[in-house]
Amino acid sequence: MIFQTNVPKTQKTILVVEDEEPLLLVIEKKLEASGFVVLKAKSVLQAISYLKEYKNVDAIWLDHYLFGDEDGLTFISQIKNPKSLWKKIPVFVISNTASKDKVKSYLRLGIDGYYTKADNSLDKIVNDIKNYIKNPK
Amino acid sequence: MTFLGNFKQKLFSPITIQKSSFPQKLVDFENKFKIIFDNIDEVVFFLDQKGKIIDVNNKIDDVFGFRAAEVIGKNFSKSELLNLNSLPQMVKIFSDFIKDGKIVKKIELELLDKYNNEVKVEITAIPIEKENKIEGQILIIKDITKEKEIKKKQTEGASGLEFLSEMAMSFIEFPVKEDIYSFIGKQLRQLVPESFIIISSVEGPGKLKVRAVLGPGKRRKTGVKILGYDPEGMLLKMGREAEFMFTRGRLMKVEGGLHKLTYGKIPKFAALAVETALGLGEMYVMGFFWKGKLFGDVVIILKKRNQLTNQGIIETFINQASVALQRKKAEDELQETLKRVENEKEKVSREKDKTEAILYGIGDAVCVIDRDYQIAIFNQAAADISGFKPQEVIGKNYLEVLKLVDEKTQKPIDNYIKETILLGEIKKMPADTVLIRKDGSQVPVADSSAPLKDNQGKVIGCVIVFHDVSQERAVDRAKSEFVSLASHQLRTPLSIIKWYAEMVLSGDVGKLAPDQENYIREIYESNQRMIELVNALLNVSRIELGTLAVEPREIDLVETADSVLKEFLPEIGKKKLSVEKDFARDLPKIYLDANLIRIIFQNLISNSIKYTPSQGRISLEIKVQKPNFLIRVSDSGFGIPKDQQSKVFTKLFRADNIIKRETSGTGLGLYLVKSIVEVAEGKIWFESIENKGTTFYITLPLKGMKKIEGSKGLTAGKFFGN
Repeated sequence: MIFQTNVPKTQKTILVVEDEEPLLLVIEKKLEASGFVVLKAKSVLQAISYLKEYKNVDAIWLDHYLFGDEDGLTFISQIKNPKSLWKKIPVFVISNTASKDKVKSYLRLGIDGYYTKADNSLDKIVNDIKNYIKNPK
Repeated sequence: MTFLGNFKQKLFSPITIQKSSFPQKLVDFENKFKIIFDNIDEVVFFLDQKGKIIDVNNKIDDVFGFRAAEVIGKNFSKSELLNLNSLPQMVKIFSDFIKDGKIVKKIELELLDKYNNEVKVEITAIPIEKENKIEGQILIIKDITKEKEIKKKQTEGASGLEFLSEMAMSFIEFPVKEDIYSFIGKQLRQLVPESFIIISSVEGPGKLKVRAVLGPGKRRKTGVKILGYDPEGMLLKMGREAEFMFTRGRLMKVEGGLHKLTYGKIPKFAALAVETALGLGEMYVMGFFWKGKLFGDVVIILKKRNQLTNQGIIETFINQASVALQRKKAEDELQETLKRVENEKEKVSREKDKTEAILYGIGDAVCVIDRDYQIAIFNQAAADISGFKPQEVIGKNYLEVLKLVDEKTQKPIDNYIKETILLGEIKKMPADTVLIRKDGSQVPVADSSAPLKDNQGKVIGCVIVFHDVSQERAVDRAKSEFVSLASHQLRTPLSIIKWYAEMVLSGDVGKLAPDQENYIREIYESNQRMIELVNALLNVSRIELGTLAVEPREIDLVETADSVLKEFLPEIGKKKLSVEKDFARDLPKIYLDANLIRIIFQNLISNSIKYTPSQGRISLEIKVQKPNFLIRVSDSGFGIPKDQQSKVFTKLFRADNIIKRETSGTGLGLYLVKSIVEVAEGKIWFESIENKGTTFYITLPLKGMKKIEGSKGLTAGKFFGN
């Protein structure tokens, strides 16, 4: 894990919110190999505290089921709050949950991408995120 | 005894008439006797000792209607004069005679006249003795009916009004069971005794229906029949002459009798003949009038002439009878109406009871509101769910009672009820509706509201039906949660393997020796199959649990097919398969759920690719075949053996010929496709020859799919990773 408060502008920072340890590791590996600075959080609480500390998070990788009582939806509703400082950060939900209701809720709250882990390669997801940040829609 | 009586007595006391002794004097005597004999007021019979009638004077015709010739020679006791009731007395008279030759004076009896009418008489019997032997008797019979009549008329004359008022009273207390016409006839006969009375009602223009026939004796019915009336009330056509007979409220004497009043049935001469035969004396006729209109008539036929002395009273009586008849008619109509109203009330009451029973019994809550949104009906189930008692809510605005809100947002829901009333259409309650009970707690409810319309189709209210779905919602939520959790739990380890294998294979964690690469690849491929299987199982579980959501939108079938083919390009390339596309031009869009149609294409195309050997051929066709779309996917692959074709659509089935050749395949794909096709109200079938190829056909209705509320969509994820 790298603690950096001042990140060179060419490198993008991504906050990965995921509770499965093995997944966190492999995602981190892939993202770093793609040139990202990775922050890892396992719970909403952790994620929020990171956001508070690191002012320049460029993207968020968010899973749905997380540690603790709060899940991805709670996190999203917090950061996409009109008064939130982080409402402009692009959020990508990468989860294995199959509930259409949940997807709808995420979309309604304003996410920038939704991927099912089992159906997508890591490579594709990371590339999509990379391209999105380069050319945000 | 009268003077005449005395004279007779003297004349006929024991003297034997011997013609030879006093020739001229006797003849004179005889003649004188004859004159007297013929002109006295009484009927005198000469009988021999056996009772045979030797002679009778002509008075017998007046009193009894018989001519002398008709009875002479007959035995008195066997004659038609005798009334059965009077027989005992007659016998006594005779026997007394035979015994002691006494004179029997003034015995009151009833004898019968020729028409079987009773004649009240006073009989005096005088024995004829010769040499102390009874040789016969003389019967002097005086008709006393007239006397009685006169007495009656005298009293009548004085108290005619009394009589009428009695009649009036009797009409008021008119006995319900008795037919009113018979009743009137009977009263009338009291006024005109010994008469034949026929009462009829007007049933139509020129048509009379006989309602009552009254008359003395047994000959009544025969007489009436002869007169042309059917005693059972047959309709008779009134002759023209007859119509003139009815003048307003006046009892008219018909000169010339019956034949003048021919009702179109009896010819004049026949009527005349009948009149004579029956010895009809006079006929009177009067109509029943109401408000100037004739509605019936009375015909009074008398045997003797000049017998009607109380014409005025009879007229008044018949007028009163008119009133009574009309009153009876009105009463009858009122009764009918009352009965009908009662019946209607009964019907309505029964309907009401039925409705109430149904409302009470059905499990669903029923709340009926009128156009002003006020509660008119609130059944027991509604009371149970809402916590309000029916008595508390009737008349109140429904918003005060049925507080419906969205479960999540807590915003009030009542638009659908307003829409029902304003648009006059059935509307469903939105999903996630909850009712706030009287105590503030919430209960999830579901159902709909329907408009109530009147005969003209105008909306007069609305029926809101709902039921407590907490149980159902809980079950649904549990199912959804299960599938969600299952998918998450199953997929997480699969995702981990997938990405780790991917990382290793991509060289991001170091270089691999060729063997190592192959092994890792094997792990990756196997894992992909697992992912595929889990996806398929999750889809199947959603269909079977009924949590499938269908969200149709406009789909271009060709676009979808092309997109799916693109997904499989690597596999197609690897196997060097040729792909033929035959897509009709300008195909209309179809209203389908994007995910579901994608799954159909994915499965069929994936199967074709999997089960066709290298350099084989796949072809796709999409066209319109009214009223459906037709999709055809063919391949030149291994085909399906005939004996296994019936199992193709069953869960987890894989045919023997491909299990050996191709290890991947869940056996769930076609089951899923068939399920989806059925939800879309389409059809799926196939043709296949082993080692030649297989063709699948799908039809989908042009109108597309309906939206289905559900919580889950199916996964149309990719089956082959990158």
